[in-house]
Amino acid sequence: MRAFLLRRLALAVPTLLGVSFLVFALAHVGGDPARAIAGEKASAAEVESVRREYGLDRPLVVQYFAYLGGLARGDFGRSARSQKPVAAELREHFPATVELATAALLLAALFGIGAGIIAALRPGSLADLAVMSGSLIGVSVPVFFLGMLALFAFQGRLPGGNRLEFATVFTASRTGFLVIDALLAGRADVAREALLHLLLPACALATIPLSVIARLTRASMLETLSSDYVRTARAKGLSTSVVALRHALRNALVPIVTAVGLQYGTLLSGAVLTETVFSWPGIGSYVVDTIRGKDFIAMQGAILVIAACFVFANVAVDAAYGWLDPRISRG
Amino acid sequence: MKQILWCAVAALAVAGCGKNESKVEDGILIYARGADAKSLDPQSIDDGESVVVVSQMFDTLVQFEAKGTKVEPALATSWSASADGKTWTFKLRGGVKFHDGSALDGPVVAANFDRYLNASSPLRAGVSKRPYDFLYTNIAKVEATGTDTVQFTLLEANATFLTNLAMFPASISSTAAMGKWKESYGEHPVGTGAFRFVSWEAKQKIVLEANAEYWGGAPKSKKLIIAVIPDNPVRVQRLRAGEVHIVDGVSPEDHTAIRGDANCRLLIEPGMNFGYLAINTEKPPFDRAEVRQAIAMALDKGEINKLAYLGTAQTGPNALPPTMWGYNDKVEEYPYDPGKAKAVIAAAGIAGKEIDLYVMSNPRPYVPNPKNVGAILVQRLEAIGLKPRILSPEWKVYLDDLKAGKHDIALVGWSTDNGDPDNFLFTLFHSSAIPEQNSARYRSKEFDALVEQAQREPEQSKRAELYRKAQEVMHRDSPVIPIAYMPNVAAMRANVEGYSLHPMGLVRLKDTFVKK
Repeated sequence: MRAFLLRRLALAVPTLLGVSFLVFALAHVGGDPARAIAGEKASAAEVESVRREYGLDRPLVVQYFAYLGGLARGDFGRSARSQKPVAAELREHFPATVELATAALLLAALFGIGAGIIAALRPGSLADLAVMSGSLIGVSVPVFFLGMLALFAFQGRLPGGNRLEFATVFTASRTGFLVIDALLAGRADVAREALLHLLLPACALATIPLSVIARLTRASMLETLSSDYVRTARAKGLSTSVVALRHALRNALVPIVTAVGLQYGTLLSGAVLTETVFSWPGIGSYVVDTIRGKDFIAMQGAILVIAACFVFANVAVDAAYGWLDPRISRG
Repeated sequence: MKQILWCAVAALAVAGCGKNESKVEDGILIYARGADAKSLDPQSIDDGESVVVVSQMFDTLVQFEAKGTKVEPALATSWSASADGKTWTFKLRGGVKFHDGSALDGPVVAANFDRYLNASSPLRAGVSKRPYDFLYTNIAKVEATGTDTVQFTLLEANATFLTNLAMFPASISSTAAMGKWKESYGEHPVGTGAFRFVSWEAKQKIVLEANAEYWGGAPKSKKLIIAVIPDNPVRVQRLRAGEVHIVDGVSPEDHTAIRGDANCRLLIEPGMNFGYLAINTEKPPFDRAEVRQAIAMALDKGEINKLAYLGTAQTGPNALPPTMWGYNDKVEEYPYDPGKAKAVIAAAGIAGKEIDLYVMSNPRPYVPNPKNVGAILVQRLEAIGLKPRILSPEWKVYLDDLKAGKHDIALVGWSTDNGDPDNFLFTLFHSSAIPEQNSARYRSKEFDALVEQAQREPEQSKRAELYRKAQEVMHRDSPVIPIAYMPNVAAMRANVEGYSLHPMGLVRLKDTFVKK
């Protein structure tokens, strides 16, 4: 198992290197980065001085390896817009994304698996039809549209985004996860407010994974429920719930776990639209800002982090796979 | 659908413990805009979002008056210029203190300018870029000639020097704070302004509190929160829900909804910008004035305003917004006459000619809807016998292509920097601005001489006359076709008092408050 995981982690290195090269190359295609940093109106002399200061006058290969060298030391460079270290900015934005993604995934997994099981137990029933058509709508409706709809529907009743009310002062930030920070600081009122603010964006973000998980759970459960050992269990006289939850679910879980894990990777890697609609200060909106601001140094860092999330979510899925079905890690 | 259902269930569950109608405490003013500030170091910024925050915390030696572009005393109470216009002496206001308690004096002012102009200044750390350096390259030296006097020596006499001192890059910071925070001064700004910095939560809000000892009188709100809500319709919606008090960046599509809401008010005031077509005067057949005039005659500006600006813009013939002093209202538009335009194109032997029409893909303040403008342009140019091909590369590449002169015609625009006509006519159309800002590559000795003379002339009425002449010359040569002047737009709660839009887009919230 350990060797399997190490092998998978080792594979992540060339993947991330490839991503870093791609992003670096893309950032240098078209337009002059020094001009982008210095500003549209800055004088030619100022652009040259920026070019020297950021080392943009060196050959691209040299710049790339210097960048890689920095990465190895945990140095993502300095943002051209804010002058702050990119690593610090990413640390600032990442918890917001993790908080939102986790909330969305919990909702999606809980309701998705539940709905999938209900649908599978009574295929063809009204409940099944509702789950299937509901999930079809869920995957088809664009998240930003659903977000706007939710904002409109709950205007004035539920907070429409941002992590806290603007007028709230809360500075006891230790982990960056607001709900946890508020609880650590003994501020139940702030924690409650933070949860309320999470509600709409997390619901909007959860729709697609929820639908995917529900459909997959249904299909996987149906397949497992028709296998021989389930028939045997039923023949032993076990109740439907025991058969479904204790016997069938574990085997049916293998593809579901994959889906959940991959969805988490996707959610972490930036819910760009949701974060923009709900003014959520996470990695997704950070990427949008770096692109809008032509801040290619920060953009590189952010995209690398996103890629890393995706890669590690994959590895975690593989590990869970091995636990659920030991045949896989042996293979 | 299911998820919306349980959204509803969850909402009902919390509705019972929801808060009451008034969402914000007394004395707090919340201003929401689309993006976060980048830095709060006035010398390193060029984005409007940073400028909005900086303007509340900092003062300049002179400032623009509340409604116009004339300058009035601020940190300097009086000033005088030498006969040759190259030496300017400013007397500083007494008793002014920075938010950190340090005093404003001559050496502090001199050190601020030294930081901006001199790469070896001990305070230079943090200034890794100076996007507005072009406004100050004419300053040779800044010295404190006493504790309360500062003297500027210029390389050449230039009438825009004073207005440039009213601009945000010339804000005066505490030298103690700049020395203390070095690279991170942009996150710990210390000025003399009406509000002092309290905290900054990235992409959420910047909190400022009133500076009760402000030399211009204490601000009317105790606390000012400058919030970030990126999505335009969402920002308007949250204004209507009463979660914020003032929003900027209101799209024309949202005007009707705001007008129909008794709790909100829409503010529209003429701005100081313009969107225009720059015709590449170096590329045949556009090197001939009659061909360029034919393009002007092919366009119905009223139609563009109606379809692409939803009627919110103003139109006119000059490369200067009508809000600017020196605007020439005697110049008349070329009449919309596609028949005549078509005849000129045919006579010039260029009917059926393919032309590269650059239309940006991203909205700009002066062209909120470039795609629609592009579609109308194509239709109108085709109607006179040309074959336009729209090119919309990414903005960075767009500007590079224009600099390289790849365009035949390009949609571009400009917003004022310092409220001076020079910042339009000289900056955009003097021959020395080729290839940078002069996308029309307009070269006219007559025009150059007029705008150069206006730069040296200290008296405003004489300068205005020179600019009026320059506009006539430009109209005759038609290197550009102005498309629209965009107004400044904001929306606020109906109970907000003391807020108005400045033509330059400046935001000043010292006297703004929410009436209970």
